[in-house]
Amino acid sequence: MIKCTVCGIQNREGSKFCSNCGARIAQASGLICPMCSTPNKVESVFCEKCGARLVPLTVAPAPEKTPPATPIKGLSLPAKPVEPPATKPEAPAPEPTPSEPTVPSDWLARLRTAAPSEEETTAPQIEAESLEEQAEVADWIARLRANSSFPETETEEADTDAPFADKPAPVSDLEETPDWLRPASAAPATPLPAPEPARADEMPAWLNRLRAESAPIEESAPSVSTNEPMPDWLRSLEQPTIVEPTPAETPAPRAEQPAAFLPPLEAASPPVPISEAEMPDWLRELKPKETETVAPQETLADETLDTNLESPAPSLLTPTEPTPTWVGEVFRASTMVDEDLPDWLRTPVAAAAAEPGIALAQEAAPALEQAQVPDWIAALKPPDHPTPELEGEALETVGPLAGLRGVLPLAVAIVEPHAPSRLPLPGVRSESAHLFESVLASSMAEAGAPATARARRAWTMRPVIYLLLLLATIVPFFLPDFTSSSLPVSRVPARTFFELVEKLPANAVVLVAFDYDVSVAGEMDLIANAIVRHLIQRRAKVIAVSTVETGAQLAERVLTQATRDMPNFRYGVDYAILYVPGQEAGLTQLATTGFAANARDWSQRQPLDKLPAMVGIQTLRNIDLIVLLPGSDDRLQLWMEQVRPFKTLPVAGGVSAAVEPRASVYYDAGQLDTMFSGVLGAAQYEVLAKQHDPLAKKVGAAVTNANSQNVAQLVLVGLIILGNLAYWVARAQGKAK
Amino acid sequence: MDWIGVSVGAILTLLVFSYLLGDTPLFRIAQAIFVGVAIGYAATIAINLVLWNRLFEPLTRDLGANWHLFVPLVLGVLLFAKLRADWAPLGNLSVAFLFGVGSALAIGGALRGALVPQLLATLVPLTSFDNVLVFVGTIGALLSFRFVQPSPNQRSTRALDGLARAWGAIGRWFVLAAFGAMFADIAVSRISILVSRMYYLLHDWLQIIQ
Repeated sequence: MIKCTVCGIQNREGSKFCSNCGARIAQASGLICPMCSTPNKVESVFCEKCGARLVPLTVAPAPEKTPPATPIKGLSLPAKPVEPPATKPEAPAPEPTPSEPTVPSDWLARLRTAAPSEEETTAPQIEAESLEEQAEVADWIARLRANSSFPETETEEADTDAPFADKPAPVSDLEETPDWLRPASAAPATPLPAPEPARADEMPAWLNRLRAESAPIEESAPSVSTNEPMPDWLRSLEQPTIVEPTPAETPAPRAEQPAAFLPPLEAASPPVPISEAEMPDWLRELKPKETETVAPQETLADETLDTNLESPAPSLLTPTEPTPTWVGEVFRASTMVDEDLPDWLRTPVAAAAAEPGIALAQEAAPALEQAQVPDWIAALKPPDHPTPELEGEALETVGPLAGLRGVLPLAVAIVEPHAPSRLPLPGVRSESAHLFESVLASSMAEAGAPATARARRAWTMRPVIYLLLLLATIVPFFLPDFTSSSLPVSRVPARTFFELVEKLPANAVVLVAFDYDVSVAGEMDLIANAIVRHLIQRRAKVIAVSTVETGAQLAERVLTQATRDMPNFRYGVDYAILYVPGQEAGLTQLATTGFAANARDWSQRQPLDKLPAMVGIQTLRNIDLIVLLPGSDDRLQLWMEQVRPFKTLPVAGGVSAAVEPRASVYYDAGQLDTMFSGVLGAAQYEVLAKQHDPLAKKVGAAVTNANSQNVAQLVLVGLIILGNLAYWVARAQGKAK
Repeated sequence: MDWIGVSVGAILTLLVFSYLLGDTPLFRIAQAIFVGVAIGYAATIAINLVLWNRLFEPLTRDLGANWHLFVPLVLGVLLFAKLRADWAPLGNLSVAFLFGVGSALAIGGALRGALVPQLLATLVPLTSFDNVLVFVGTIGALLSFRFVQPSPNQRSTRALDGLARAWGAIGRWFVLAAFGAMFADIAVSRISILVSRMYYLLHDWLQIIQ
């Protein structure tokens, strides 16, 4: 587990970001890139992602005192050891890689041109000027030029230890290097035996390697810089140090420094405040005219930025001594465009920003106006004073966006989609939320009144409809039969069914499928009762089957009621009830192999072979007619698909009115020989049975129910017509208005 | 005794009718009773008529003659393995058997009992008005579900597309008529059930009509 340094939550091994706060998790033994926050290996010198230097440069120990290497407190500058051409020092430099810009940006060029034209300030511009302009440079630079023919070892040392030689590939930097310095930087190094590094066990491998490479060169480095006069501004830059060195960190004497035109910053210790008189003009211009107090947000941003650098830079800004705002901006800008900055500008600015005691000239402020900063840097610049809208936003504490607020609101929403925000709403947003709530409340209140009115109207209409339907169903029960005489029975499907039963031979075996449940029993019982009565009159043997659990019980009730008037029609002898489980499989078995051997009847639980009614009936071949009484489409489909294709015997159906559309399809296709549906069909069947049997005293319940059904249907049709008329009238009135 | 049963049925009917006043507790009571009785009844049927009559009783009566019944017995027992997660794979065999047989029967039955007969039923000679109506309605209903746009560069298909659109518009009316008929039949069926319930209350329970 990895503990997050921000919130303390334990995260899994290998996690790059904290699962709680989203902060980048520093690897236990890794180096965090100060530029892109990418974790790198311990032995890494440069970031594997952006190429920024991960470790500060070190000063080679002096041969006499062998002080421990002191890191440069400033921007980490790439200082990978250079391997200059050994055979042809004067060979032209190869083409720079595209990823390493060799030309300073425009804003830096403008910054250079905006500098004063004194001799001291023109020194950094020499590398970009023509040879004619070299005559205007200071004398010390001229002397440096005179010493440009350094020995090869000196050049090597300059490239290795000079803090301003930041490019890891100095071969490509030769183009940036002034002409007078190029031969020196291109001079090959002379291999010398490496001295024993001091406190090597306390240093990482990369530091030991650097020291091993740089120390022998320092031994042969000529003492040039101390003997040569330096300009005041350069000396002033040399004085302040970033961190006060400890006694053990005594810098190497200047005489032993490499022959670079700028000495390392560590050499200038202890810090000495710079006065304005000693300050170079170009740096004096950078200083704002008035001393600014650092805003809290600015300080926080600077501190956060420094923290993210994870280099000695965090110690640059002491919390007790607030850094001027413009210094922070310069420092941040120089951090962002580190690769675009030339060597002469990079570290001095960083050093100047890091030194809290530096008092710069006020007239330098216009030189660093925002207009001269690249846009992408200006976009990253945090506001000087946090706006009220951004106060509630989360502050980025890690990564390249450190110090910025509210830059990634969507990321928070994705990470915690259901977590409510714990941040207090700022004033503006709180007012907006209240306004939104009030709008919603008012709209709901306005819409509530019509809805209530509509509900009240619906409630007043519903009882009327209920009452009308109730009267339409109850009143016909008390009226004399008016249906039996008015029902058409001559050319109706029920007559076809009736005639089919009439044509059955004596003692015919009829399979009646009671495939309906209690939900439609009120309708299907009337149909089944009409058919079964007719079959009993015909003395047919009825084998009632059902694939529904409750169907067998309903069949028993219907047959029991139908046989009350015919006591000679007995269960087990003249009829039987069976339950067929298994849905498709049970019906397929019934159609192909017949009744199951182990099956028992429903009422008496007797084996089928012991029932007199089932004697000689093993398969459907012994059946003369199949009567289907399905209460739903799927039951009818089950019989049509699993039984009908195997048999050629007639199949008739008495179906529910809801199943009639499906049954009509089978009837039209010839799969059903005949069919009728609903209570009206049952009433027609009863009327036909009464006409055929003059001894019948009265019609069945189907006719009685058909009376009520006809009236109820008429009432229902009338309500539908009235409703449509009311709708069209209301619509016409609405259009008229 | 019959009167008690009829009265219970009548009271439950009135409880169900209380739904006209809203989702009342009376309706919930009747609903719970119906669901509980239906499940208990189905379980009783399955135990008595299936497990005992068709499986255990034959095995206990004559094991040698009914040894093949061990196959459904084992398959049924394996289904109980689904109750435990680590034993659940053992029940896959039974589930596969059930789904395999059921699917085979359903597909075969659909081909034999629905698809082929229905297709043959539409191949009728156009000698009568009914047959023409069947032909026009069937093809039109199929074309009403045609949503393919023809290629604009092919002039020959443009005429066919116009014909298909016109025929599909006619077929859409057939579809609407079919839906209307289905809805009307369902409404008639539900009115029949309402009438039968009223007849039950007035005839079987109150006995005020003959």
